[in-house]
Amino acid sequence: MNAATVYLVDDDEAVRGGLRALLAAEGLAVQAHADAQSFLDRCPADAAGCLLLDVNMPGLSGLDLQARLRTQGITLPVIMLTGCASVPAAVQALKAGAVDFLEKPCDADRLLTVVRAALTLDRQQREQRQVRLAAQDRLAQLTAREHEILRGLTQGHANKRIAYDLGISERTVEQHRASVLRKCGVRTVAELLNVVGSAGNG
Amino acid sequence: MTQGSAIKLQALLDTAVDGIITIDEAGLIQSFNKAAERIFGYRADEVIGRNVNLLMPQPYQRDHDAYIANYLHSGQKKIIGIGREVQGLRKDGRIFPLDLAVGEARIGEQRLFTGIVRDISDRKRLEQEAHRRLQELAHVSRLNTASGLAAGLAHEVNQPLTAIISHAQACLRLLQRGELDPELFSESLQQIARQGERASGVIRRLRDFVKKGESQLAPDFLNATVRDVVWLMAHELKGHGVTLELALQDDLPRVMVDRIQIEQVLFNLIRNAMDAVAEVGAERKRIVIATRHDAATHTVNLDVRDYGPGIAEAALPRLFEPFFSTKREGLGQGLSICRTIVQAHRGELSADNAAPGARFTVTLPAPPA
Repeated sequence: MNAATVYLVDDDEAVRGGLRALLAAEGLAVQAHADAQSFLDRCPADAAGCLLLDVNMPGLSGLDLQARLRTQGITLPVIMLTGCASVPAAVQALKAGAVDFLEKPCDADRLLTVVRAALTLDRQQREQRQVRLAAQDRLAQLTAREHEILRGLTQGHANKRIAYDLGISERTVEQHRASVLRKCGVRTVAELLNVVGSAGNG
Repeated sequence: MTQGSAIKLQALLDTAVDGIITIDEAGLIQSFNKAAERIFGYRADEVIGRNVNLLMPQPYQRDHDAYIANYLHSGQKKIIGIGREVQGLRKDGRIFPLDLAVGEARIGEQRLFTGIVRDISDRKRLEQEAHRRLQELAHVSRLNTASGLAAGLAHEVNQPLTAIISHAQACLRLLQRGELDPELFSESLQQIARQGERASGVIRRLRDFVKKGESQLAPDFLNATVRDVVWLMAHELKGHGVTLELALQDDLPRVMVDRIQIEQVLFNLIRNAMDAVAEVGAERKRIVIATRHDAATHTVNLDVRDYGPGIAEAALPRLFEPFFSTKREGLGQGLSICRTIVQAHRGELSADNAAPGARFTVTLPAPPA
């Protein structure tokens, strides 16, 4: 995984320089871009950190970029910056998934607080995603029959009922059940339910 | 003149729409027709035989005898044969504008002067009303412009302020931790100074712009006006992803313009062009402003050309009519005001399709020096 970086996209060179100096003084890694396209071209797919984005830019605007990120599956939390805040623009940015909306010139403490919160959020989202992917991997190893057993188990049915429903022997159910638990790396049905929950719908 | 023909003549004069007054060499009124009675509020029998100067306000009332004497003496015509706008004085004391044409007639030994007068109060009032309306509309339009510009200018100042605050805070934080890197500090301080100047430059330009706010005709370089307006709109253009190119001819002759009003025209035309390219692809979000001198017609021409969808043929003839708009939320005022302003400068504003896009052309007179 890449180290957490604050990606900064603003077409104003002076603003980039100032924000970069401030973030760097706080020991944060910064990668600055003059326009949205250059950021898209160089942003790694698994970029970690957050994105500090100016709303008002030529070419691809901040709001356009936000939409583009979503379609490319980049999940960096976005903080919108604007030189002239308007309520509609703020609402639009937040609806599009921005975690915050700051008006320039913004207070340094506030900016850093918001950036840190975004970095934390990104880390948490990333960890949750890891857990989900691991759970999905495990479930993917199950055979069709084992999935049937798993469905019975998640519905809270006893071996006997599952055996009856599937028209197989209780002993066979027991064998499959052991196999499901092993493949999911758990020892109890309670733990198994956690894995199923982590994998979610996706 | 026989008694009968005099009566016939008076009857004829009374049917005239204009006031007709005759006076003798002494300035005494000889005849006063019905229209003159209506215009001045006197009956003919009240004024016949009296000095015509009772129909004019001071200082003309005082000086009129001298005007006649001067003419009789020198033969120099100041008003005879030439119409002009003068002031009249009604019986009720009201002073009003009138057109006066004076002719001279000799009947035998007698010399008579004929004055034909027309009350132009209504026409003057309409003219003043039209002028006031135009001022009002230009003002409203300018307020709209100002509110649009305010956002852009706030942005122009906020950018350097953001840089200044960020650099200063970065330095403070490094200082608090005892990390004294002279190179970093020097870099930040230089930026702080430079961005401070940038912000003050924005304020200065804005102040210059507002100072020119008094409405007056003055010789002006059109290119400078264009550059100022484009500068003020740069943020708005950028926000809409529109590129604006200038193709300004150097050494244009000056034009006599009310700069504020011409700026208004430019704002409107550029805004329209921005609207026109709102729905087209990024590569056609272009506006080109061109100026050129036409030595043959003694005009300076300015084109605002966009690369949008162009103007529907059906809309072209009606484009400058008040309350006609092709925009869903348009009031149909912008272009109508623009044309009125340009025409008040004895110029013309026209539109055509440039395929692709539309082109608006402002033509202003630039008489040879």
